[in-house]
Amino acid sequence: MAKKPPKDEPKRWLDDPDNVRKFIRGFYWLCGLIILIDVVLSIGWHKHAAFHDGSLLESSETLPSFYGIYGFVACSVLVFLAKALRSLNGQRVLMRDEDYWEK
Amino acid sequence: MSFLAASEISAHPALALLIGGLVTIFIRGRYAGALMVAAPLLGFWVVSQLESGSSSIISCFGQEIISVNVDKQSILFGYLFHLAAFIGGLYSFHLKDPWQISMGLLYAASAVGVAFAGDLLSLFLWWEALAITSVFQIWGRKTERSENAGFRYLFFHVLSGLLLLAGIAFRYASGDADPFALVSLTELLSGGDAGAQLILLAIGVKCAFPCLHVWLTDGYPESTPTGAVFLSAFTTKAAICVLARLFPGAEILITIGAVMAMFPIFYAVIENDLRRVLGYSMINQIGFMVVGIGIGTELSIDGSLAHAFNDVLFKGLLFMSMGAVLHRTGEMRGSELGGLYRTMPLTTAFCIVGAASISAFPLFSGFVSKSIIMAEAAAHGHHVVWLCLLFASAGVFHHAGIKIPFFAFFAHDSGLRPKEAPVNMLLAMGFAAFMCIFIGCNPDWLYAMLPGGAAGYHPYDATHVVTQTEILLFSALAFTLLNLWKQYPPELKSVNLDIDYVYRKGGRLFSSSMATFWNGLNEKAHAFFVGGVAGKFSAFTADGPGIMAKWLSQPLQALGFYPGKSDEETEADLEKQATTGIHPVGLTALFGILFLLGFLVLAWIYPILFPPLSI
Repeated sequence: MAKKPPKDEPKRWLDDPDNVRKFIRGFYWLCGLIILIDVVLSIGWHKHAAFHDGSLLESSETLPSFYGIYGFVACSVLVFLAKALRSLNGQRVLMRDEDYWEK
Repeated sequence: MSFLAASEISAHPALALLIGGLVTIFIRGRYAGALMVAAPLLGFWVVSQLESGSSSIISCFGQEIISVNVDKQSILFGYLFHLAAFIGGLYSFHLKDPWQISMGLLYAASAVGVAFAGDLLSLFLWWEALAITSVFQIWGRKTERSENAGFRYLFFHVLSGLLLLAGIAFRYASGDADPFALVSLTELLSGGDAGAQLILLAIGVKCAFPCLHVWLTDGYPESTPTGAVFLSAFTTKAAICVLARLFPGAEILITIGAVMAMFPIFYAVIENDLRRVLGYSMINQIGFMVVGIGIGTELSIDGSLAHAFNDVLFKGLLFMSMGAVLHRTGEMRGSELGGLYRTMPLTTAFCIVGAASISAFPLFSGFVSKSIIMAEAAAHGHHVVWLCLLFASAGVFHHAGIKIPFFAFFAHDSGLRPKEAPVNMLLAMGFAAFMCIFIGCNPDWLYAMLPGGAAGYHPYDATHVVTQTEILLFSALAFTLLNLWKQYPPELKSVNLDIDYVYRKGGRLFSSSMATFWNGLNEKAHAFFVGGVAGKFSAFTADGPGIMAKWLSQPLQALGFYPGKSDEETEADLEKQATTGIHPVGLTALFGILFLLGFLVLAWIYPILFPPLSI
């Protein structure tokens, strides 16, 4: 599958696992930073609510980090549900061999 | 019949593309490529000269057809489709296949025709043209797979045309004063009008409503590298344009749109073919537009139209970057790609711009249009739908924003070292990327073209920027952590069953059961008639006289016809005469007399046996 890359190839910045780790660490900091900004905005400033109907969503949507938590949970749910759609407990659900329709 | 009887505008806005499409049938090489770029530019200029409110009416067989009606929405889509044709033409500059070139231009012309159609009749004409001209982008791949996918694609689009025609017929029969008018049918729809329902279904096929969507995820990934760029721009967006005209505020659209935004992202996460991932994410984006039209306020429809505009650019950009990879490597499966950033850095960069735009990062185009729909859904109290759309927003970043660039250009090193994309492709991608960022940074440029001008909406509000960035970053965090923890589903060589299972399996079952039944019947009939009856009949005509002669030999001998011969000799003589057809004249005369006598007897007996009824 994976062919051997040419030997005289220049090494790229991302080829070094240390740099990848650095990149990911920077990304974690960015996530922390945005939460901090959200908290500051919620407490020290005012957030514009999307809802104006006194519902549960109006009070929760403006909470700091609501969007962060929702995004993280949504994507985790998405991935695990999608995996279950492939196969569940070893039983395949939607996934078939590549040449399924050519057979 | 007089064309342009009462016209205010002299030429149809699609004329430049139409002429370009017809001329490129006959010319080849660079001239054809140049025309692919020049015709959309000329058409773009024609659109810029149009005035809102003008129209063109054709009288045809005593029926007035409004062939062109110019308003803000049609101008918006006129610009958009010419822009898309220009980008697609530049991207396809190197193409040699005249079918793809001329049909590509005619396809763009059909989309422009739909945008400017003034009534249901002219709409129908362009609607059918859209179906027929588009399929050549799939067939252009010239593989058995693409041929079959093209026929399945065509099946859906012919169905859509027939549904539209049936809907128009119902509208005509309804006795309305102006049955063909291109005005809101929402009230008729909620009143249960069959014509409105059929028309909605016709648009629904082209919009890829759930269960009617498979032509998209089936056909687009089988198209040529350049074909997908054309396909992604026109059909669905033309359908959105018509949906916004005919069904603004139809409540059912909110539910349909929310389902469309939700279900494809699950497929997109596990799909291996990266252009099929884009197909699913396309349905997801159209879902947002359908929700906006369903909410039906001026602002929400503006949001939908703006999102359609942006979607053509960023989805086109993503399809172009994947097309470049396919063009260079001949491979589109995520499991076989990876690490291409080393030799295709510009394509990678453009792909990331497209990914950021579809994910609605601040300063990119998706941010300024998707949020209008979200805000309107919230403002009108659609809680569940809003949560669904938010889920879909996170999901779209996950599969289109990260997965596409990650698995194609980064991830594991596939060892592939393709050349950078050709210059014309890079220029097309660069232009689309520029537009994505330009609109993201200058939303007012786009808003000014919208029918309602997106009045009162300001995307760059601190809350919105922060919350949107937050949800995207944490979606990325989930991707990163799941990947590091080896929980992310790897790209596997596979296909996933969709609703097409029903009709592809059903179709095979139908054809195999029909084959069994009719071929079985045929074989039985063959065995009965050819092998049985016909054989017996020919045996009877061949052997019958001989057998008859054998039977008759005994009585004839007894009557003394053959004096001086033994029984066996008479039998052998008669059989020989009968089978060779040579009888002595006397015997033939005897049979003739007996035969006539038989008839006389019958004529005498018959009235006695069956007396005529006396009434």
